[in-house]
Amino acid sequence: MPSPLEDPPDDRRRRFEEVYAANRARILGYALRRTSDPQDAADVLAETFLTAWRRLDDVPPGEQARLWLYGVARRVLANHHRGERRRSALAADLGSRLRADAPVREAADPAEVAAAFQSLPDRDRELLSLVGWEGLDHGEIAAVLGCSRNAVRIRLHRARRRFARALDRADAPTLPAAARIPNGEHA
Amino acid sequence: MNRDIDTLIAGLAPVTDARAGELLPDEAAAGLAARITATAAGPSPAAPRKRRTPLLTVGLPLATAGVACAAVAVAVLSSDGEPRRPPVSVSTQPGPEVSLVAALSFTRKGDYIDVKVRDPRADPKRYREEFARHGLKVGLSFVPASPSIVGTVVMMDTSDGTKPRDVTTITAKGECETGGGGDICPVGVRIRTGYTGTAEIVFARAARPGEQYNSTAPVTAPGEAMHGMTFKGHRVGEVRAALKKRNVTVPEYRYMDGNESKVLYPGQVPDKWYVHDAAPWARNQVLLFVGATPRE
Repeated sequence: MPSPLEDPPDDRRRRFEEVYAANRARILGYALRRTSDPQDAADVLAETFLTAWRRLDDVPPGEQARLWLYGVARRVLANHHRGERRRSALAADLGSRLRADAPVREAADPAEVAAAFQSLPDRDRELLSLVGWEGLDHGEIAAVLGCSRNAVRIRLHRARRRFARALDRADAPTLPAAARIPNGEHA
Repeated sequence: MNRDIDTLIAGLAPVTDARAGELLPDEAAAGLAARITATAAGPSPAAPRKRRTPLLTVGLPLATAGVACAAVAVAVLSSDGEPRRPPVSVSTQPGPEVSLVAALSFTRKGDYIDVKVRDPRADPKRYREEFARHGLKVGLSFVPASPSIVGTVVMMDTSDGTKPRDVTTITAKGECETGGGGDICPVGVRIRTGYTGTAEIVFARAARPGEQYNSTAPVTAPGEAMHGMTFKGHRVGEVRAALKKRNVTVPEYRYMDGNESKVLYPGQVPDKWYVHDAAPWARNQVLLFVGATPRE
């Protein structure tokens, strides 16, 4: 009798497990920060790493793997957001576990800041989040979004300006004056 | 300067990576990794696509999560072609013949083994072992589905080189009704005994209370929450009132803001808006696609 399940080559599995171990909390964090539904976050985690497993040869080495995974997670999440019900059978138990372990919301959520942020277009929010939540620089964001570093720089500048304006409108008392005029440019 | 803005935004993050790590204990993380690596390692996207059975509607990301996602859904039995509806539209209703109480059943028929599911709650490992005992590398899993497709095959994914006759679905005429008005119902899979490839088969099971469906039939199909209702182009308030009579609630809405689909929650959608479409969401819950105009 042949072995019931042919194991993939050990090195392939080992490489996947390295990528997984190094990034699983980051990808789950990325997803949890962008969806209110833990099941969605579990699905994003599962689908992202399933893609990584299936396309392991495309996953870049080292720190670059994280950016590649963010890019995949971003697309998976966008599909979820469109109401597509691609629930992952792989993550069913994980979703209920996350749900049981909620409350995951820890932020103090200063109301004006949150409102200003929510008022921004999705595109701006994603850029600002990649900086503020994932701590990425221009080049890294360019890798995640698949655009040029320069495009990121320009779009990020505009996003920050729109955010500052939105905050101004809310007249947020918490905002230091300096932040209202990013890069010394008057909004 | 930017630092100030970035710091403000950083403060909005509801969860840190460290917290996410705590929410994903080693054992749960290892379980997920094991399930992922148990699936067939796919070819690169440039390589020929795996065969997917066109009979079945795909509602799962097993093979092509991410980039190619949008191309996966095949809605053969769909009765209409609304592009924005969640992509699952096989609509079937198990008759009394579809039993979900016993375990996996194997029936040898000449060169083929027919597999039907008897216990959708069994440990997936057990299915794998049972298949393995028959010399087959087949994984079986279950997803919660809307009522009219419970007990049916939701998706099959087979490895490269699989011939059309190696793995086929068993359809039973008259055992269920499909949304399109047909009565050909997928109730199991038939696998050639010498089949050496790998296959992943996903069956639909009943959802637990509050559990979201993975796979859904058209919301108006027999057995579904909005069977027999007309609602497209009707006011949200009117549809909500009609749903209330059926004890159906709407936990989330979607509306198009330009080209972007956005989520709205109860209390954020005015009664005077219009319903464009709907989809089953969970037991006694539906998702409504809405907008300020009668049509998209």
